[in-house]
This record gives sequence, structure tokens and C-alpha cells, in this order.
Amino acid sequence: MALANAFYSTFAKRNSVFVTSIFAGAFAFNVGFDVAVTSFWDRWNQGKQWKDIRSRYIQEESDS
Amino acid sequence: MARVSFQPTSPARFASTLAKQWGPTLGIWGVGAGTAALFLLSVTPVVKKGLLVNIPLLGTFYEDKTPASDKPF
Repeated sequence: MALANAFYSTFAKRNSVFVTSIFAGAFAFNVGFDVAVTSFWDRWNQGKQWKDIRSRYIQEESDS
Repeated sequence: MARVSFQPTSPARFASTLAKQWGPTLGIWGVGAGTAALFLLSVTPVVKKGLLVNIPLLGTFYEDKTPASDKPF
């Protein structure tokens, strides 16, 4: 009940604040979720992706 | 029954009252519209390379980290 009241008074009372927080939340979730899932994927598949093994095959940093 | 009557106000006073009441709300809507536009247009290269990459912390998410030799074009 107190949580609902706190949520209402900070976010839902003014529609302008509500809509802004929805878009800001979406933006933050977009970045945050992508970073979280990508870092998990890279750790789970450590050593198997091209970016892990490319140093074995790329001769020098400047291609001839 | 009480009688409510309209008190005439000068245009300047009306304008200043209107601005004081609705200014903050319109400001917050402006921030909201800007956030929405930035979010929805973040996929376009113009916004991504022109604006988002330059933001200090958020920029590292939007910058292109693939090495030049790995790009086909």
C-alpha cells in the first residue's frame, strides 16, 4: 500500500512525469538488458567466438 | 445559490498566470518528447554517430567496436 502510494506520488500523479519516465525507462532498459545479455553470452561462450581467437590468425594489425 | 462572476483580468496578468501554471508541465512534456525522440531515433546512424557516441558513459555502448579488417564493406 505504501509502495503504491510512493509510486503514485513520484511517477503517476503527473501524466507528463509518467510518460517521460516510461520512455526514459525504456531507453535505460534497452541499454542495460543488451549489455547484461551480451556480457553473459560472451562469458558463457568464452574462447569460441571469432573475437576470442582472431589474434591467432591476424598476422599484424596492418593488413598487407 | 451562490453567484459566481467572472473577474476580468488584464492580458498581461492572464498571460503570466497561464505561464506560471502551465510552464512547468509543458517543460516536463518537452523533456518527455525529447527523450522519446532520442530513444526512437537511436537506431539511425545520424543520431547514433552524431550524438550518442559522444556521451561519456553511454557512448561506449553505441560505438562500433568491430575492427576495420572484420568489416566486409
